[in-house]
Amino acid sequence: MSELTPVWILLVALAGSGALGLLHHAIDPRAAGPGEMVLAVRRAFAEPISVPEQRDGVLFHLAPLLLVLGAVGALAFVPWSPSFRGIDLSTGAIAFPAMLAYVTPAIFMAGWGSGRPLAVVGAFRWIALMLAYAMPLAMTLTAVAAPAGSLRVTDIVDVQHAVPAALVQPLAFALWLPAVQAVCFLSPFDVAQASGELRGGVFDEYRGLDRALVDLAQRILILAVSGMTAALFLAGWHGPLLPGALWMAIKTAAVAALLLWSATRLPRMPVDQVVSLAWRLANPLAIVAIAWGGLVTLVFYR
Amino acid sequence: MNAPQTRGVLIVPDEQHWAAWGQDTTSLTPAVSPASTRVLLCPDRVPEGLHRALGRWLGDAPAGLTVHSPTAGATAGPRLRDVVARAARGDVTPAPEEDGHHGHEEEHDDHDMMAIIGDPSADGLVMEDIDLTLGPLGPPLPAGVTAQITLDGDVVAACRVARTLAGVGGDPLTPAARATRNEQARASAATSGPERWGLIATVERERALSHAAWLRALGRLLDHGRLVAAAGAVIRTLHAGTPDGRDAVGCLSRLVAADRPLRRRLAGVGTVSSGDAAAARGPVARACGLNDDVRSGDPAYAHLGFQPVLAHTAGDALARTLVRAGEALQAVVLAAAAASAARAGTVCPPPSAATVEGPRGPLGAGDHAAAATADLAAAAALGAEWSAALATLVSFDLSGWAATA
Repeated sequence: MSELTPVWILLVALAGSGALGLLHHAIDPRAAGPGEMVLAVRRAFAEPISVPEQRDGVLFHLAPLLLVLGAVGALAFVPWSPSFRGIDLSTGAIAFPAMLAYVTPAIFMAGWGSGRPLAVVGAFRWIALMLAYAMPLAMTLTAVAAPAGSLRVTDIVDVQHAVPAALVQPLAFALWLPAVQAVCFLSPFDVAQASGELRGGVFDEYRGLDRALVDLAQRILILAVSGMTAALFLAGWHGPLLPGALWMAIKTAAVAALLLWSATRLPRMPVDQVVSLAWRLANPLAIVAIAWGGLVTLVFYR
Repeated sequence: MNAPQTRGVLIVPDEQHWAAWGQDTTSLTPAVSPASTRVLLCPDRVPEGLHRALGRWLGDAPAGLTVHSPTAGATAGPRLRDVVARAARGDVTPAPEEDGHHGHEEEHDDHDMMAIIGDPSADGLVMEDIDLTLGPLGPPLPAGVTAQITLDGDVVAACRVARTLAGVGGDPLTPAARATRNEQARASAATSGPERWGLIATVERERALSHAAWLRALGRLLDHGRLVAAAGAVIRTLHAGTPDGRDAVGCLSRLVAADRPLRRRLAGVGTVSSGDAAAARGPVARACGLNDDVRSGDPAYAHLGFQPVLAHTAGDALARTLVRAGEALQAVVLAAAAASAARAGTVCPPPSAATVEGPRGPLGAGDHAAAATADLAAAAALGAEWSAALATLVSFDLSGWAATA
């Protein structure tokens, strides 16, 4: 089995984010369509890069790059098929959220670097949100890795050849989805850039190429978490009749559609409620999910 | 300190005045004795160079000294409350921000997060203040309304709402409201006859339109796509002059009544008591259970079967939202009934009062009610988290102008 080269990973990121743009437009007609996406790319290079009056320039311009880096890094660990996979580390299931962790400082840097009061409020909201949702994310990974007895993502996919983990461990799946939705700063977890409350929040000052990088990073993040969800919970490339890569693409698209659809339908939650939900409900339930994962492993996988 | 003074009062001018007088503030000392002073009037931001002298002076000040610190335009200089707090500890050394660290906007490049000092918030944390101004042109507040807010972390520590168009006598920025005022004048002039039914129908449609526009603004604030879409559909329907807008308004009203996220978001937010709401009028008062509606005493409305919407009395943002949604639906029903009465040639009884209940209360009630509502909104936002504070301010449907009688 060959691993993807960095060039292939970048190609997957660009092609996947374009496809996600079309999917988003299909779900929400207000989102940019194909023509608007082309125009947006042209505009991104034509517009001058924003230089806010009060900002920390280094952090401000570094944030979108770090965001893209974290997103592409996370995408690199997604296995698309047995012969077309990302970096297949023996600790890939842990390396994936480790790459997602770069999103947290990147968005904080964006808010702090903007120098606007509301952007700073958004940045601190983001820290509070990620502190709350990082643990359910990591703990549910532990739960789904238990049956495989390995943290290698391909091993976790292979152990689901009979039954997807989402059916065996529905609680872990239910906890994983909102956590990854929060990482992708999609509604109802878009408390950091809340357009109504914070006038754009952490990303309000971004224009031109910086803004385009932020949008690109968000799409790559959605692609990465959707792909990893398909791999960890929906048996990845396993499926009848169709080629494995096609199954993986279908499942990834389905998860991405679910994330984007819920982002369109669900109004943003107040930051206190969304954080309280994580600490009071999601984290305790994640411990239950780990216990359930262990029990399932002992009974059915050993 | 050669400051203007009166007996028992020390007045410290702000930075701009010292600069205009050409005074070097670093060499000044207060000329008035602390023992004979009862009141200190000093800008929120102590002028540069005065903090040491003022700190020493405060150290000798009597315990009963009253300190007033109006917010001036200056953003530089240490906060008065910090100077007072340090003086109480016998400390007149400059606080870290006196060396030029005034806040995030100016100096966060080399800012030391651990050096933030000041009074702890309600949650025990010491945070920097963030001063913000919303309006007068821009969401989420309506045109003409400004809110000066000081955030302690993300909690509102101070809030002042001002209506910049008060006294203008008409709203130059809101054609719909101006139309309502015109309708008021015409309806008041028409004491009876079938034409009054038509005017009542117009006023009621205007009310539904106003409430729908407000609900759309609320939806935009909360990023509630379905609410924005439903309210937008009502606005388009009513603007298009569709004879019966009950379907669209009913859909909006049902959405507001049944939407759980919206209820969770607004319940318990910006609660005011019925006693506090007495000075306010319209839906704000009715959401506190006060039966305050000019239409209740109007025989024409009685003929149409009008009953004020008093089903939601919690006095919070949710109650105000539900009252307006209910009144929007009721308004289109009344408009349809009035149109039917006009077509039937029913004689319309004259109004009992020469005023009309507008979307925000009686039109022609003067500036008092609008000012009271603005004060109420500012008080309700105090101590709230930022998003809750915004929802609170918006929920009062503030008006930047005042329709004088």
